[in-house]
Amino acid sequence: MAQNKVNDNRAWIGVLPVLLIVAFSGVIPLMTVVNYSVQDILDFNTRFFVGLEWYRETLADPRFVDAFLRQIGFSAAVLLVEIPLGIVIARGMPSDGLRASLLLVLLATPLLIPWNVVGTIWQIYARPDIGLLGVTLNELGIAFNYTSEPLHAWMTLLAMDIWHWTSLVALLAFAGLTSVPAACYQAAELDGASKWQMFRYVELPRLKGVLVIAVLLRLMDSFMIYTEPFVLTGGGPGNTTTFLSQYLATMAVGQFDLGPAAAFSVIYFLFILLFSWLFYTSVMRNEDES
Amino acid sequence: MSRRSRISRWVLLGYCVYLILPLYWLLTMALRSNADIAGTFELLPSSPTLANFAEILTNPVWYQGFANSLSYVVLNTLISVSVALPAAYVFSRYRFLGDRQLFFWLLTNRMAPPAVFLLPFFQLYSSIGLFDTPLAVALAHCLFTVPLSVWILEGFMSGVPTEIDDMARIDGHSFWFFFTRIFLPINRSAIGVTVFFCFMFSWVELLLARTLTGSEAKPIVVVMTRTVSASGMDWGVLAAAGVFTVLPGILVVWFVRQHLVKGFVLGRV
Amino acid sequence: MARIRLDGVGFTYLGADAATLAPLSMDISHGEAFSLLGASGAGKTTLLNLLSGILQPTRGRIYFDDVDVTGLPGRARHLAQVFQFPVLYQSMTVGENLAFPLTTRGLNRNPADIALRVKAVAEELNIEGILNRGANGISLFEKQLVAIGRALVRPDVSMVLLDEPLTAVEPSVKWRLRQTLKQAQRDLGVTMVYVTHDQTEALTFAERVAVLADGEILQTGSPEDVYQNPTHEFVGHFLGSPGMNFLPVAELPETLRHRLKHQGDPERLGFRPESAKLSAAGAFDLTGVVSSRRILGTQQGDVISMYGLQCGDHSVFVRSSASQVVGDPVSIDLRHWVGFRNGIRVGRHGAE
Repeated sequence: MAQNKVNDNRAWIGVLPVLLIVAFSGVIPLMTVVNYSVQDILDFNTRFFVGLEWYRETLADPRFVDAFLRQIGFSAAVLLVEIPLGIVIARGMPSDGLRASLLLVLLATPLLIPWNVVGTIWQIYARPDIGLLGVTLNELGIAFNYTSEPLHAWMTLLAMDIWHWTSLVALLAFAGLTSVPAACYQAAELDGASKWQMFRYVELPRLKGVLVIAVLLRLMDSFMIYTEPFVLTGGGPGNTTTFLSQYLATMAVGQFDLGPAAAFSVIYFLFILLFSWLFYTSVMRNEDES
Repeated sequence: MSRRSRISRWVLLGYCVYLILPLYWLLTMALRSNADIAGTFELLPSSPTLANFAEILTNPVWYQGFANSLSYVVLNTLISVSVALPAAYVFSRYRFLGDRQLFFWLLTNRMAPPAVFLLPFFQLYSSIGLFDTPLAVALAHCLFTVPLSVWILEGFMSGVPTEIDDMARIDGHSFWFFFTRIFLPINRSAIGVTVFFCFMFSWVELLLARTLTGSEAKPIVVVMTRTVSASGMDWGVLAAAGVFTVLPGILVVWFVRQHLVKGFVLGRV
Repeated sequence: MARIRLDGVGFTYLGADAATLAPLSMDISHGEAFSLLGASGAGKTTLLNLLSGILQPTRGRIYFDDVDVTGLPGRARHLAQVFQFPVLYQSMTVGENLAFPLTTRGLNRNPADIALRVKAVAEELNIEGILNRGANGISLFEKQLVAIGRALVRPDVSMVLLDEPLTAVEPSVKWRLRQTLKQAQRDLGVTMVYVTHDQTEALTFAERVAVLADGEILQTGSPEDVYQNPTHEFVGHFLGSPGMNFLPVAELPETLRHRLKHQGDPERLGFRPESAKLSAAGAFDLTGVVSSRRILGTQQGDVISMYGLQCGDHSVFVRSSASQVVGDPVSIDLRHWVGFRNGIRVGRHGAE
């Protein structure tokens, strides 16, 4: 991968367009946020510098902590199901041919549906009055109603996220598996390895790289989830399914409490930054190894 | 990959069913009128109608929404890819001051939670008069799609041997000629994969698209979240709109399907 | 170790009109170093896959020690294979890689015995120093040695198949790998079948070579045999660098033609560059003009050159210590030649 690169600082010209766009889209807004996070803004002209006051308040705010804990619970549950499931699905896929193409399209489809539509699809699907799932469950005797029962809401959200994102893990794992040369399987076969040993010693090491990426991507993206739960449950019943992004969005846009909202944003971003640093170092380490 | 265990294949089958069911249900809803939906519950629509689809195609609120969404997605893809190509080329061919740090910083932008940017984006785009335009959404999405594009393109480009650059130079071609006529065609798959991911991000996003638009450039995702009429949710029309939003995705995947696996193989998603 | 016998084995791919492998028979002795030599497309990969059990022959039967293994999968044939690139278990150490085939079959689960065997094989291949290193961090050369070691480690292995094992290794150490392999084969008495397109590898490694072309075994014999006395023109042409020279008998001088008539009556005469001697014009009947000269080196004070000669319309190469200049007329003394008719050997002369 790292071939004979030439040392040349004039190369900066190539990255200039990218820098401009991302600076415009990212840096300036971010600075604004950080700016707000350390100020008390009563109105446009009246603002006071308050230092880390908002940060302290946010971290101590029980609603923030609740949303944070809920978020962790959700992300953990999501990972526990999607990662193993994705791997198993990938192992079940044919490597090429028309069937493989059709399967790829089917698996990729949920990834390309607007997130609100995902929420809408599951609304239509899970409602106890008109939904296939909802009606079926009620017919089977379960008083299923995700709008009034917190547990049902959680289960439906999980089911929806699994429906939405497992494909990503599966596709990544599939790509990892296709990179295993046939000779490796053959050698293991001649060595007398069992099916489990083949998975553990031939496939899993190859999957390590893509799995790390899959885990971190799902962890980060599930941590930022907003649209789907918003459409499906609106954060309810009550606030039992209000995760971090929604809480922030409500604060920032709805309540116009700029200072605390900004502080929240920064804290949120710092967590993500931590994850992305882990992501980057592990990917770089994987590439150096190969 | 010659070893497909029985369990894996059954799980795959089961998951396919799991995937198809809600989509099937969406389709049936789209083919029934609201009264029909509220009235009877049936697995197969007994009196299907295309009225909902007609509504989408004839009502300006709906088709304008689609047009708006498509315009910012296309804009975003164009901007992202054009801006990312030179950057990726440079990252793959040259070492320069601060290149690794720059690359990492770019990545962090992909990881930024959109919610964090709601407020500043709103103010920023309002202040420069871009509020409520597709361009605003396209640019806002660039925060995420540009780093992603650079990331993907660089991965592919690193695999193209530098001998090609040298040969072109020796043959006396200008850089522009080399880049557009030789280098880009070689990286066709990479560009295909990048387009796919730009589309994937921009088409699906709601939060920013909603925040940065008002009534002029209202994207379809917003139109759908606000579809509540006096008689309650317009499920039929909503489902039809949903079907229309799923179709572009399927088309895009089908066209780039060979490049897709290659893109995932690099693991750079 | 096993004695491998192929009896009329042929293979045709499903839906193909022509057979990839014509029915062939082969007999590899217990503990023999055997090489399958052929160009790409000659069918050696197919033959390899038939031996390893990936493919089932469409005709004929395969025997390991007189046991019919034709229907058995590779796993049951107790063989091992070394591939073109090092195939290792990346997550294990070198030692664990070597021990793996021993642990899977429950043959001798005693860890002490396993460790002993691993050590013995490692010492044979000179890799006992890296036994504790991770399989990923060693050089390509060492990786391939580990792969070879894994093939040798099982005491009950019937044969080791090697599919162009030097391909991935750095050119500078190819010869070292070849040496190690040959030594190990001899020390351990392992039946090895070495498949390659490189004649140097085949001729230096094997006790017997089978030359494969277009799905047929053209000739099987010792390296000297196939090199000096090819039974087919193709074999003569394929082996040697440069390959055998061929001259149509009809264009040879009368005296030679007359003699050849009684020595098999060949159409074409084949001789190797080193099987001819150059002299001044007039000394011998076959004449030519020097068209090129490439100095190869010196040997005991003499300068050895490869001369390109023009004999009528044909160009031949002769390796000689004589000193000639481009344009010189010379005569050629054929010390050892092979006569061919329709591509098949019909006669030969000389022993070298």
